[in-house]
Amino acid sequence: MIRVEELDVIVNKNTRLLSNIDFSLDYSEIVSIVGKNGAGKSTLLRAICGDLRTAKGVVKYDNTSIRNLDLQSLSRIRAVVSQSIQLQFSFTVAEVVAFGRSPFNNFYNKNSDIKVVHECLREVDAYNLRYRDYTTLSGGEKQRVQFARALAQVWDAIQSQEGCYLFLDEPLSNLDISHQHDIMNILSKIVKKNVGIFIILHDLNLAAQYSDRIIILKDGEVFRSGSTEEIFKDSIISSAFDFQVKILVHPNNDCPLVVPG
Amino acid sequence: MIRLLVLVLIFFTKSFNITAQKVFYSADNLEVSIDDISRIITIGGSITETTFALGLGKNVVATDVSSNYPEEIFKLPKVSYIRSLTAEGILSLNPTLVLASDDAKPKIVIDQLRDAGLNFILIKEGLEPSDIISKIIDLGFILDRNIQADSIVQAINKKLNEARIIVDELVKKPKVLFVLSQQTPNSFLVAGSSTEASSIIEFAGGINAFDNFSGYKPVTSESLIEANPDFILFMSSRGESLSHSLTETSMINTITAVKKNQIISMDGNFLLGFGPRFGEAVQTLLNHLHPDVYEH
Amino acid sequence: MFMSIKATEAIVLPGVFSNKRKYLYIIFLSLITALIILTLFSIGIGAVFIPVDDVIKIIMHQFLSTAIQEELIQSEVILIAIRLPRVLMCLLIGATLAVCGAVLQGLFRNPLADPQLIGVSSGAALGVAISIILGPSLNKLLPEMEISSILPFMAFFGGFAATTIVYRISSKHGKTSVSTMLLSGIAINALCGSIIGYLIFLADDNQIRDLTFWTLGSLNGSSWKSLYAIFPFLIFTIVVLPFFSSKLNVILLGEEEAKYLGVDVDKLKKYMIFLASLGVGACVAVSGIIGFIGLVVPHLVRLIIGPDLRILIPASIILGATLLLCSDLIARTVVAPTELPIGIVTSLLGAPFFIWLLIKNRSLQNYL
Repeated sequence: MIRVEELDVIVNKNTRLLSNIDFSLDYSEIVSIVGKNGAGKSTLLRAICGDLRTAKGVVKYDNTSIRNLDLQSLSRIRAVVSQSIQLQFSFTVAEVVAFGRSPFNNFYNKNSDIKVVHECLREVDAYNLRYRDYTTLSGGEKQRVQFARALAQVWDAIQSQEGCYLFLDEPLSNLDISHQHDIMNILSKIVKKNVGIFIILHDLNLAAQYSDRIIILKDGEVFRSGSTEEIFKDSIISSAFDFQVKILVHPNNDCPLVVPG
Repeated sequence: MIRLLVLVLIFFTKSFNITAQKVFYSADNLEVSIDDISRIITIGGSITETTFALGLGKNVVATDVSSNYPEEIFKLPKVSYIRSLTAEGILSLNPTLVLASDDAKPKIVIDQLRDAGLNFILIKEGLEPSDIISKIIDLGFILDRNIQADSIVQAINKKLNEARIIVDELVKKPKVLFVLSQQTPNSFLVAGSSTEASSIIEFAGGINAFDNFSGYKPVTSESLIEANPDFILFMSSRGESLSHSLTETSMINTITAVKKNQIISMDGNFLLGFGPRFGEAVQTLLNHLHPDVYEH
Repeated sequence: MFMSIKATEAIVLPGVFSNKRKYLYIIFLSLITALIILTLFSIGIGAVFIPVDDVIKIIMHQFLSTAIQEELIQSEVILIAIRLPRVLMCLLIGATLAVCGAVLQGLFRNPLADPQLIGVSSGAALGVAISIILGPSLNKLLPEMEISSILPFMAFFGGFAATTIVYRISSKHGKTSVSTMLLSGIAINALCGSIIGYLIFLADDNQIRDLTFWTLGSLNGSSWKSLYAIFPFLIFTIVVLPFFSSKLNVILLGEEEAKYLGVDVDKLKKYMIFLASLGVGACVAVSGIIGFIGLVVPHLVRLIIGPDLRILIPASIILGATLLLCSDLIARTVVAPTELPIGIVTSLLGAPFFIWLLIKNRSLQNYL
């Protein structure tokens, strides 16, 4: 379980990006982070992953402070998909996914890695792309490949169910509706295998449908957090985004639906 | 039997050809023994010129790129530039002796050549007449042409003495500017102090127009006007364009040398060679600078 | 860092993840064959031609002390004292320049990066300009000192100091910004250039020519002594850098991603820049500036076998050695008995290739 207590992030001496964040992420839950642009969602992700120095507060992985964890051991228990990844050189898709295996390999890949790479590619419906040049892929294809790479990184922990975390920063922004739901379904499937999932989403309807818990960030602070039922109220969403919305109910599965107005 | 006789004969003729072994101290204080001067490579313009003047041109198999006098050497192969010699290039010509100016570089290549058993002699060069004379005497000793060397030296001394007598009597020495090249329309590369040009200008009864810096430095036409030389001297290899820009540039029109059209062009090797023709070069320049005095 | 592979699990070659890279073995084999053939060729050919059987006789004489004819003594001197150290020097320097180029292109995630970028060459040039132009005046203070013997040290330390400054400028709290590094590299290059310009103003004609020749590069001064002097630096660079290739690969995804994948990016950058400046600095110290090998070789290899640094680096080592050997062979034979500065040859071969690459592969524009 990841615990964050009274976290502050300050950059350039006095620009405060996050203040007083209390947050937790348990194994086997999907936590969605939503909020306006600039609310501090990506900053929170980077702080929890250990990429940003925190001015105050601690981030603990299973009661161990992140400062006491080295990059190598951290890389075996959590994988991250960042917003956009630009590759300058013409790697094939399979090679990019194989990078996800690098925490477990010192120099060359092992035979078992080929299997993992192929399984991860099949999982995200990108197996037929495996020999394609990554730089020639479309935005959506790239996102799926990066997702597969992150899966490959924590694949062993998922299979053995020994517990790991997955951090995703808007992984669905370039995907068509069918692939969006494909990825969310994969997440719902693997979350049962003792995986804690932290996902930043812009699509409130997707967040409502798949999350166990939702956190709304506003101006670098936690505005509200709770289950779908607790969060999805006209007044809360409207004031979180400073935009008038209305919550409807999906006719078939009773999920909340957010529409303007 | 006849074969044996021929062999013995060849052996004898060969051993007669070899001059008696002798030792010379190279400019880098190394003892070099000289046993065979049949295939010589000369490195440095004045070394080449002196070797030819001593009558051993036929033994020279190659020269460096900077040698360009006398005419015969243009038929010979060139082994690299004096300051970046190459070991293999020199060895490939199978020389028995390399005579080089002490400017020759790099040291590591010279060491390699000596390690390969080659007799490599560095000869000291300088801007004083005594340097030129000792260079010629040294080469005469190395090449076994002592008598020829002496007569060249005597000729130089005679010409220099004649020149010195004239120069000593001069009341007024003209200011002479040596232009090596033109860099931009308004900037010229000219000789300062401790250059070959300033040295020969003084021997020929002139004063170098710029002596406040040493070596060849670029100066603007403005400072040319300020220096106001009586004569402008340049190498004929620089050709028409330099003389044209010196005379036609409106700014320079004001200086005495241009007004009086006292612009001298001389062959670069002849003027700055500092070899066997040094005495002649001094006299020729003197003749240009003081045509009236020289006649009687 | 070093290989620790479980005995039960077979390793797989990187080419397995690409259908075009199945021929890795064949490519490597032909690269190595080309290198060996060219090496033998280079030993025999030069201003003095030594036939193959003589080469063998001489080598037998050297290492097995077999008898040798009197006529071969001169060939032996040429071969052993002059040509062999030069050929070995070529192999080592070509390999080092190529491997450093490949590593820096990876580190900067920019296919146009080359060792010049981090200031090594201009710093070394400044060191050389100081020793050539100010050397004679220093000589008056220290008459024992010889300019030709301090020059390599000045080149090495100049290069190393320039890179250290570039690195310092772009690092803060142990983090190094790649873009700041590119910009400070440009600034340091300009600064060195202006100081060299001032020194040239002070210099006489001969010194300027010496400096110009140095900046064009030459392997003419190679000897066993200079080979021994730089051997440890070069072999260290060539042997150690490939072990970082899998980590450098991950950096190509982005520095943040590499951190998430367990790579200590800032430490890696420090090591790589240190090693690259060590290797290139040692090369420059003995050979002057040899351009284009570090830029073109990794490019060429990437065209043939793709960007995976685990194969690109070893292949660059072989191809770099081959190309420099080839350039040197041209440099010392084409105008024999004199020779061309090798920098002219590498640029003459490298620049048109690079232009062709730019025209053919317009997608390179994405990189800029």
